[in-house]
Amino acid sequence: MMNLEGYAYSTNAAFTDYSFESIGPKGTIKKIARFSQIPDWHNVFNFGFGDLNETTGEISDSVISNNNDGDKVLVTAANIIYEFTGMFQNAQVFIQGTTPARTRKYQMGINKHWLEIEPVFEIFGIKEQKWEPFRQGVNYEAFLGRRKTSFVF
Amino acid sequence: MAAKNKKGKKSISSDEQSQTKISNDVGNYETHPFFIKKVNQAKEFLQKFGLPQEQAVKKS
Repeated sequence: MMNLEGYAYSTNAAFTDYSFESIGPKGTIKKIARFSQIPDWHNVFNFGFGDLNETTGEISDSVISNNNDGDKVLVTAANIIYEFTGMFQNAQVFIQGTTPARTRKYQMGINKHWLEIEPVFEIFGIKEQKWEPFRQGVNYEAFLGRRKTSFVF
Repeated sequence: MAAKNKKGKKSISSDEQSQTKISNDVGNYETHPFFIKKVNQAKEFLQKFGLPQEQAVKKS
């Protein structure tokens, strides 16, 4: 989607789970992303994303990787969301970081690439307990994105 | 054509993303505690605040 370099990634046959490798000064870190159907909410999926410890099987999104590729990782995550919503056009994707700082990081990513995101996605943010259309420069607690129905690629 | 970085790892531009690799190696993390926790948090959040513009329908 975005005219920026992301990592190559793989998905399972259901297109719900994705993996790729972050490569940088800290070595190779396996990242897992998953779209989980939220029970009782039709067509709404949580986008979960974290680092996989291949030894223990644990996944964490609270570790700061410091692999000097944060933007590339975010672009990859955006590409994955683009892929998933292309496959499931009615899907609505809920995104919330583990911490306000992590949520803010997602927000900065949306801000940075807004010109590419806006024609394709409707993005909402929650602020003071109310959803509103995403506005640049506003801090939100969580996001919800869905494909614009009128968008033709 | 995909570029390779210094370590020879393939990186792809957005135009190439449509050729996503489907692999059994990715697995399915539906029952992984990390994602169970995340989905429960999201559900709790939506129960509290709903969805924007009510375009997604909450099942009864």
